[in-house]
Amino acid sequence: MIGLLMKTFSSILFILFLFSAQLHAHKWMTRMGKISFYSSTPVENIEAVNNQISALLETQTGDVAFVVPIRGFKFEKALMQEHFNENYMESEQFPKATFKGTIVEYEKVDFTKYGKYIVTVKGQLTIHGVTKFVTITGALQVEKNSTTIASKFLVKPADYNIKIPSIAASKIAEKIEVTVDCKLNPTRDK
Amino acid sequence: MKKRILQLASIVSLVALAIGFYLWNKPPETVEGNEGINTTAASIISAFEQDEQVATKKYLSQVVSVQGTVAEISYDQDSSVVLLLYGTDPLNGVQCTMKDKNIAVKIGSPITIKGFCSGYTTVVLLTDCIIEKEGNNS
Repeated sequence: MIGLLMKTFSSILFILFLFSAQLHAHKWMTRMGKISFYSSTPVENIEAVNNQISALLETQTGDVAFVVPIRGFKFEKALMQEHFNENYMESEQFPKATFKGTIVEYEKVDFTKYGKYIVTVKGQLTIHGVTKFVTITGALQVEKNSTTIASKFLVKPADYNIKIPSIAASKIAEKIEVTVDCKLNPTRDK
Repeated sequence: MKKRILQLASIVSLVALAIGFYLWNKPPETVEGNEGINTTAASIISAFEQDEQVATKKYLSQVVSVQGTVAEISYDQDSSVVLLLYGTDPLNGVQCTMKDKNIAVKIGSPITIKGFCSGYTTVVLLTDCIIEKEGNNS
């Protein structure tokens, strides 16, 4: 009798487990994420926005990946955009920036519990063909049908072999503030 | 003589200033009036999938006119209209960020969209797009 109960109980558990696995997608993604950057100097402020970021989050492993098409950055002035692409980022040669990393202690993030989680991500940031290991803090906003990844961090152009001629040096900050704001949706594929 | 030189110098510097001012305020390029490279969604996708470097050289930052079928209509985080044209499998496509916020298209309709190619992530990306032609291409 007890054996039968146990059997029924475990099969119910198993069914519940299957069910919950189906309810919660393991892959969240977007192809329309947003990244902007801001350079501030006494001479001028420069801002650019990109709404064409691909971002992927795997909730089972805590892996995150971002692909940023450099030509997707839009500036206020056409001339700035031209200089950014042709002189500094050399986007014909290096059309994408990427980040591949893992959330540290991702098991602390409960994707079934809505709310905001502050996380640290470690990984490889590639800009202008140069790859660096970085640690970035950010926030995950878990909601019913979306998870938003938000972060603000500084990037030094010199670290990525981005050469700024002395004539422009006073107009471009030594450290550029990058803001990530990507709203991810669950994917249907298993 | 000295006066002539002074006059000339002031004219030259005025012209330089004017050119500088024009360049500084140069409006962004638009796709209108630019014929662009004619292609189809399937062929630009396979170009990027087969050899990304070659396709980047050919299409990046160029005006491209892509013939395809609307698969998805959505909005990006700054509420621009984004159309996805069907690709060669469910995971790819041509993603077009439209210039105009009021676009009336239907999923499944044939369409030709013109925009600047900003590269390839998991999809081919076009920005500042306009609808060149709606309905069947004949």
